[in-house]
Amino acid sequence: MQGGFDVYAGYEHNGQKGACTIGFNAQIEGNNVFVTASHCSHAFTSLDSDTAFHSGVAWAPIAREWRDPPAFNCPFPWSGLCRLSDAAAFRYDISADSIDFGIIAQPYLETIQINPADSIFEVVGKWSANPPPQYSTLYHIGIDQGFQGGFLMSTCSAVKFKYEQGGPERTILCVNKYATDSDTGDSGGPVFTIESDDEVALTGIHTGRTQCCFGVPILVDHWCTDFAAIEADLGSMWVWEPFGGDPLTAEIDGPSDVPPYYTEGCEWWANVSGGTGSYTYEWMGWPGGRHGLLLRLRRRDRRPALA
Amino acid sequence: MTRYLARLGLACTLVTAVGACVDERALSSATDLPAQTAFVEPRLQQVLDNLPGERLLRELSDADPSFGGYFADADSLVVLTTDLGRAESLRAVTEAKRPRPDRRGLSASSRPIAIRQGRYTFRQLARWRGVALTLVAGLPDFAGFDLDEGRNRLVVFLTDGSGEDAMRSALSDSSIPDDAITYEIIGEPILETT
Repeated sequence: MQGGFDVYAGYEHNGQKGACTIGFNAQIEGNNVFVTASHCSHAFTSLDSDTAFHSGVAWAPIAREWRDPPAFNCPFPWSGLCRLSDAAAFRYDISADSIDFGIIAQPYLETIQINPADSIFEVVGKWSANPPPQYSTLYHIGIDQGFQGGFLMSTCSAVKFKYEQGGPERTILCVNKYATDSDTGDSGGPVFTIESDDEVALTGIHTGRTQCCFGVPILVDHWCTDFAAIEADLGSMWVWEPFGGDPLTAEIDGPSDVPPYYTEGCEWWANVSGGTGSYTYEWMGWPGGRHGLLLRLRRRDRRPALA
Repeated sequence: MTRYLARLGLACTLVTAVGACVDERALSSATDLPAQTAFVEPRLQQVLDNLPGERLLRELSDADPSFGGYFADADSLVVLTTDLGRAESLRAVTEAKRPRPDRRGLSASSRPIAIRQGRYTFRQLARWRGVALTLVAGLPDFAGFDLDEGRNRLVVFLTDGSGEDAMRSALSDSSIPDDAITYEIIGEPILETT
């Protein structure tokens, strides 16, 4: 299972309704999940434990909605319910061997054919502190419009979305507008920057489109949910292997041999890489040598007992 | 592929046009503009002050209050300031914190930084955003809101434009400068699955 694959959630499969795109696979608090749009499940911005299906595994259930926080009263007047993101996490019920973590299917440009056997993108990063600068080029993959790209036109906008005509209304507080092509079924698909060759950094997932005016789609805008907002709603997540990040390594640089009675002072530095989060340092050690404290202590310990 | 490149070209033209909105010759320092007059609910301010997608913008604004926002152009990262006298210090701050993804391994090479004159600081726009949302979010035709770093303005999204006059009227009672807000019709935002 890869990012960019089709997924059906929110309805028992009937081949007609509920088609969306898997955004990306991730691990949240040790749970193997995929992330897609909240509005792809039956209850928009509400946990409903929907079962998710994928066409490629004979319509067997692959996952169940696991995290989709409830909307809250918008902090500005007369605006109904709000959420930071339009995203939900579905926890896989299938073997981890069937989940391609850190992989997004790569179809040919502007095609709807996703052929994972031929080509993939490797996820190497996530824009979790901020979106890319405005006017950067973003790419996305969906099961309807395939592989598309265009400029990022606005970041972290608040937009009042409706789930289909007359449906429930939610203001999503942090969506990005980008110039691209999308259609029904592309919701939830991965949105990313290309870092190098086939390596990508995730910027979020596809949300939907707006079009105006008066029934004639003259101007069409496309929107994606920001990655930072997704993590704020669903929790911090690992999106590339190895989970837990690169291994923690630490070494201490500085003099290893200090002359006796050296009075100029010595400095040692900790060089740390990998691991997770910020580092804290706790220095432990034991001075040694013929003229050091250790020797003096030993001398005291070795004082002859009084007869 | 041809259609794809054509679309990129169109978007590039749009970016160029938007970039022209930040006209250095017409801009001046705006740090002394008066504060807002409308009351902003503390809860609204708290939400806006902690929007997850603006963390880096807030950090840069805290490090240099003249910071107005940043955006990418063809070959550089453009950083706006209301005080070009602070260009070098702002360049140094941005260099240290420049927008990049958390990523495995080494980061790719980055664009050079170009400092340009902006009209408003990020801090001003962020403060006015709370005021404007308080005044217009409940009005008919309201579809959304954006603090647009590239245009160095606030943007009110409208469903069809029918409510623009009412919104302008509501905002005229605030002390937000007229030219700090633009209006953009985006249609009705409807989410669709198959």
